[in-house]
Parts: sequence; structure tokens; C-alpha cells
Amino acid sequence: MDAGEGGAGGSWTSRVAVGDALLALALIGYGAYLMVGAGAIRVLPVYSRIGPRFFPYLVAGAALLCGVLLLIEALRGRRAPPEAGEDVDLLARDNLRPVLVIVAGLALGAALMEPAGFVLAATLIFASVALAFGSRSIVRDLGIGLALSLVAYLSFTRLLDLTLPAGILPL
Amino acid sequence: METLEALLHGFSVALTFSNLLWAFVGVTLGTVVGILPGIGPALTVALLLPVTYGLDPVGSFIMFAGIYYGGMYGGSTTSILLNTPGESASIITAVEGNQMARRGRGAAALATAAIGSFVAGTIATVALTFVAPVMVQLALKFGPADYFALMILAFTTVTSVLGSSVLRGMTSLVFGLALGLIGIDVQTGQARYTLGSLQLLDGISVVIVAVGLFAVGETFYVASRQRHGKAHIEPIKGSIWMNRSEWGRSWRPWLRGSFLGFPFGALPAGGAEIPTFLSYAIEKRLSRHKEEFGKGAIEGVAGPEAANNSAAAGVLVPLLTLGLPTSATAAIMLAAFQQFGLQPGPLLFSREPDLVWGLIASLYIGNFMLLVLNLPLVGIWVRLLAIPRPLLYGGILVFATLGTYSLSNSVVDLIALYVIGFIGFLMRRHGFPVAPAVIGMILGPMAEAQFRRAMAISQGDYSVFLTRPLSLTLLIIAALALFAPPLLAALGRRRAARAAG
Repeated sequence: MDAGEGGAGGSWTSRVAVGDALLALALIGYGAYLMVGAGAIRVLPVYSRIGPRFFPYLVAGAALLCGVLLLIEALRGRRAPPEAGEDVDLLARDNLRPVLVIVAGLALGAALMEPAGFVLAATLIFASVALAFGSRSIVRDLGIGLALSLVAYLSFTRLLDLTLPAGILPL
Repeated sequence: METLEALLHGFSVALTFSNLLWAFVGVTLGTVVGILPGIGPALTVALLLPVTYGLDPVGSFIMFAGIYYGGMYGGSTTSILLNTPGESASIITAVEGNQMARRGRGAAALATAAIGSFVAGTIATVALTFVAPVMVQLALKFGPADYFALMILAFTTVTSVLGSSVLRGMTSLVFGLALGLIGIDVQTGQARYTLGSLQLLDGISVVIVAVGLFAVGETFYVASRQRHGKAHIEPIKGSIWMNRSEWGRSWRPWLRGSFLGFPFGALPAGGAEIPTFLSYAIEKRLSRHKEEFGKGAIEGVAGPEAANNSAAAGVLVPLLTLGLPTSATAAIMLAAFQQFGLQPGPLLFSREPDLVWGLIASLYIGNFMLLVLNLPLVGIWVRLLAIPRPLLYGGILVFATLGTYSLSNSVVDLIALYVIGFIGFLMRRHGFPVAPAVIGMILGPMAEAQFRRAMAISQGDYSVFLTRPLSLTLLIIAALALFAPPLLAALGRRRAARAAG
């Protein structure tokens, strides 16, 4: 566990780190977007010194610089170790399928939030996450999700005076 | 003394029935959420933020402070009993604490952690009480150029201390800065990066970024690398009431840890890792039972735990007196202040003494409540560790969604949350630390404002940052923080090569 080491970061030197290279390219793209966006900011003549464009240009430049440096590192095959966590198995191969399941659940949830209401959307989200984490009992998950969302909905709207969409349910 | 008077006044605010209730709710929620694996203190605070929306500022902040301290206590329980620690500052506790648990002395480990946390928390809060007014006096001498230099220092320490690579820390910071740019430029009223959307005129809320990066990002990441088979929870054995030798071996580490942790927490040094590691190293050096280290030495739990909690209190010093967050958790609390329209800093102390001193007073009370909650009742909380992961993460996303949606009842916010969450997933996957992004996002606009103010006052003269002594000193320290570690590492390598060759 590194606690204070600067630059000597990347470990495994092997073939080109494709994922990292793609990220670096995305960052360069983002930097370019920031640069263009900075030019689009309207500047009133009064503030021509340090105006609203100064920092955006600075940040855009920094993003481009970081992107290029990261790309160089990636092409040399230097990676940084992925993050550790209580529930993370670093030796396992990373598997994108559960991630996609959750993304689908979240997309549906967001779409249904206003028409169908918070409780139903949240139940859907809960069940999709549980499914992604390997739970086999969909009915049970929907049940628990429903109960949890209902409790959350009631406590936040009745006790804490916040508003959440009720959707099609008579709440 | 003025300070004691102010503190007593604070107690009169904190000891009202409703504020005591908020403190209790806060510490309980903080402990419960802090125990849940996979949820660190920053996320605990971010997820529970919506709970505070409907309350008055004083009650809300008292609850907040309770959540903050409670989260730290809860986290230690997890690292002792679960053999898979997550949070870097808890790893040290886990090393010795978990070993103690495996050898049937888990209860003593929990006790020393809880009591040590209480001692440290109290000492640190006392330090906070007396240091804060001094810092406020100092802060009044800060001009915009000095504030800007201070923020640069915060940026450099956050990027060079956290994570394994300075470049990735910088990238994360730059990403945060870029997010912070979205919205209306306060000084000129011009829209920046809003893509013509009315929604984005207000910028993206820090809460969305924090919850997205921490909750959603973490969930995606854990989903992609799931641990198969249950993590083993050590049963709590032994007596909670430590025996004489355990007390004897613990009390000095508690004190040393407390005094070590507070300054590190108060300085923009990026978090609690350094003091906990230092405390461990010191305790190992000074211990009469060195051979036990690595197999369950109680000093290795007592010292670092105290340092951890003390640093957490120390973080409140720059936050309250300067409005400078020195950790991701502090950044979220700053966002919470801003939501109420309050700006922490020297003015807050003079304008809202009830709030500030009520908050500080309730820290003492909260600490005491936490000791009671964590020691005798720990058996109840432990059951939370066994919560099945599918349900845990499902719950996390439900609350993340709820918290984000209730900010402004907007589905666009939810989409932003999920997109940022996905970015957080990518960041974790490729070894980019997440905390600098949150800090960059909240400090970026502040740094820009101070820079432009400084330039306006100096009429465009850039050298003002180097001619003011305070600003110059801070910038030099920042440069050291950034360039010293790699230089030292390179020198070390050269020395080793020379010795070998």
C-alpha cells in the first residue's frame, strides 16, 4: 500500500495497456472540447485581463497535458494497480456483464421515475443490482426492493417533508 | 476566557432536547452506515446528506458532525472483524486488530479502538476548541493571494499523497476542476460549458459528483470484480472490559496517537493515512512487545485508531476557520454548508456563533454517545457485517438515487449521477484516485475566485503571489510537496544502485 510515493507509480510493464490508452485518448478529446468551449465563452471588454476564459484555458491545457502523458505511459505498458476494497477480489478477472445489467436497470429506473413513480423505479433499480451481484431469487429481491423503497419514500416524504414522485401509486 | 465562554454558550445550544436528538440520530446513522462494508466516511456523509435537508442549520450540522464521527467509529469495527479491509486508513487497524480477533481477543481490540477513539476524539475536539479562534485571527490576515496559494497547496498535497501515481492524481484533480467550471461564472455572469442547457446553468452539484463517484462508481466496480464466497467475519470473543495489562499497553498509544493525528488532519496533507501509518511505526518502535506486531499487538490498534479519529477532528479546523476542505469528506460537508447559504470561515464565527460553537459542543456530546453505542452494543452492529452483498449494494443505489433526485426533482440529475458513476468505475479500474476529483470540483471555483480577486487588486501584477510572504511560503511548501517525493525516490534509487555496484 503506497502512502507517500510520488511518481514511481505504475507497476506491471508488459504489453501496451489498451484500456489506459483509450482513456488517455478520451481525456485528450475532453481537453480539446474544453479548449474549444473556452473560446466560446463571451467576454465583455471590461474583463479582458483575467476574464472568464483564463481558468478554462488553463484547465483545458492541463487536461491535454495529462492526456498526452497518460498516453505515453499507456503505450509503454505502465499501468497503475486498480483500487482495493472490502468486497473486491483483485485476483478475479474483471467482468463487465454485471456492470451492464446495473446500467440497464438504472436507465430503466431513470426513465420510469416520473411516469411510474419513485417506489416502482427504485424497486427496479434494487432488483437489477441484486441480480448483477448474483442473486437468483428475483421475486424475493423485488419484494425486498419494494419494501425498502416504500419505507424510504414514506420516511422522506412524510417525516422529512421532501417531495418524490408518486407516479401511478396512490401515495 | 473568551473561548470558554463561547464554548459554554455552545453547550447551551447543544444540550437542548431537539439538538441532543439530532446528535443521537446522527451518531447512530453514522455508526450503522460506517459499519456497512464498502461505504467509507465520505460516502456515508454524502448518502445521508438528504436526511438533513428539512432541518434547521444548527440541528442539521449537529447531525452531520455526528454522522462524520460515527462513520469513523463504525469503520474501525469493520476493519477489526472483517478480514478484508477497504479504506486505506483502516488497513493498519485491520492488520493488528484482525489478528487479535483471530486469536480470540476481538473484544479487547474493539474496546481499545472505541475507547481510543473516544479519548482521541475528545482531545482533538479540545484542541479544535482552542486552535479555532487562533486560526480565525490568522485567517483574517489572509488576502486573496494567500487563499489562492493555500488552495494550490491543498491541490498539490492531495494529488501527491493519495493514490500510487502523481500523474493520475493530477488527472483526477483536473477532471474535478473541469466539472467545477460548468455553470455561470460568478464574476462576469457568463455561461461556461453549459451546452445551452438551463439545468447546467447552476452547475453540477457536488453531492451528485460525490455520490456518483463514491456510491455508483464503487457499486459498478465491485460488481465487476466480485468476491466469491463470503468474507469471513471473526466472532467477538473475550471480554469487552479490557484487563489491566491491556489498559496499561493502550493508554500511551492513545495519547500519542491523538497528538499525532490532529496536526496532520488540520494541515492540507490529504487525509488520515499518514498519521495512522506513522502511529503504527512509532508504536512498533516504542513497544516492549515488538514480537507481537503482525500477530495482534494491542498497541497497533490503540495508536492508529486514536490517530485516525484525531485526524478526522483536525480536518474540521481548516474547514470551519478557513472554509478549506482537506479531504473528500470535508469537501462534502463544505457543500452542505453552502447548500444552507453559509460560508465557513472567519465570518461564520462572528456571524453565527450559535451554529459554530453549538456544533463544537455537540462534538463532545457525540463522542460520548459513540462510546456508549460502540462498546456495549457492538454485538448488534456486528450483524450488519453479514448483510448479503446483493442487498447491500441494491440499497446503496436506491439511496443514491433518492438523495440525488430529491436535490431538485430532476431526472437530468439522475442521468448525470449515473454517467459520473460510470466514470468513477473507470477511474477505479485504471488506478485513478477518486478523492482529488471531489476536492478539485469544490475548491476549483473558490481558487479561481481568489486568483481573480488577487489579480484585480494588484492590477494585473502576477508577482503579487511571490511578494506576499504568506503566499510565497505556501507556494514553496506546495512545490516541495509536489517535487520532493519523486526526487527523494530517485536519490534513494541512486544510492541503492551505488551501494549494490
